Amino acid sequence: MNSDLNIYLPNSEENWSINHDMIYYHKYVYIPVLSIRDNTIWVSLDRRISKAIIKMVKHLMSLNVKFYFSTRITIHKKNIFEEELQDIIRTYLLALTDEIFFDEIFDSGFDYMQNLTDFMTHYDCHDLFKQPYENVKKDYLCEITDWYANKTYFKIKKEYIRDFIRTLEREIKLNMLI
Amino acid sequence: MVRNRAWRRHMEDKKVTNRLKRLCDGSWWRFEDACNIKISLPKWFDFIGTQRSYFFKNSSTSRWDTRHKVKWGKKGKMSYDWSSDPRTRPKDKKRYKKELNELGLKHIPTKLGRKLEY
Repeated sequence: MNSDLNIYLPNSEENWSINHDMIYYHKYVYIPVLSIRDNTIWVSLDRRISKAIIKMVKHLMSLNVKFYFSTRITIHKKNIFEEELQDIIRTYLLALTDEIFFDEIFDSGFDYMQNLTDFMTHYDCHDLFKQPYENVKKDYLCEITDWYANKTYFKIKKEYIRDFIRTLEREIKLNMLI
Repeated sequence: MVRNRAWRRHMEDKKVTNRLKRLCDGSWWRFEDACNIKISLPKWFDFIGTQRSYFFKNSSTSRWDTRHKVKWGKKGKMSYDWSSDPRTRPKDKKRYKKELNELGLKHIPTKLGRKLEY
């Protein structure tokens, strides 16, 4: 199995390593990046190593392989339950709030929303999308007022990311129709 | 003992891990890691990439002659430079810019590297 996983290594750097059917990236500790279970590839959306994950996504795009994202906790597990599916959708949405990750993913030409819709159709969890989406909207799109400085600001500074998250539900429905 | 790049990286890793282990004394109420996942009993590697991980960052050096040296630039806390050593990085920069002005050159920092314009 380890010889099969060698194809998915994006670089010949020393930081990448394979152990127990999983690819790790070393940053102070060995952090899991990629695993295969039920003949599907899972990439963890761990923002501790966002640069390494973007490299991995670009490499998988060049190989034309289908893959899904998962959380740093669920990547270790063999079976996925309903609560964990909701967590995965939440991490999909929360990754968009990171400005560096957002820019680099969409500049690379990767269809992130199509990947999300494919994941939801594969596991029949379209109903689970609504609650994490509303929570993310409530937390990240609201305007915060600093009364001491008498200023208002947003958690996400860039306006086009906020607009993207606002119109995200409609885009997923369009992707489902296509 | 060969003190090459790998050794320097290893020493830096040791410093950072010690700093993160200092954060992990007890349980944190409503701790969220870099991925915004709530963890009840976080370990030291859960602090990587969070805002708290920069809390114990050193702003001074361990050497006696440059103990008050501004390690992270002029924007750091200790803006007053006590170091008498002319081989420090900010003083090198000053000398470099002065020489550029004398020769009639301009310094333009770029992404790829430093470039000189005539």
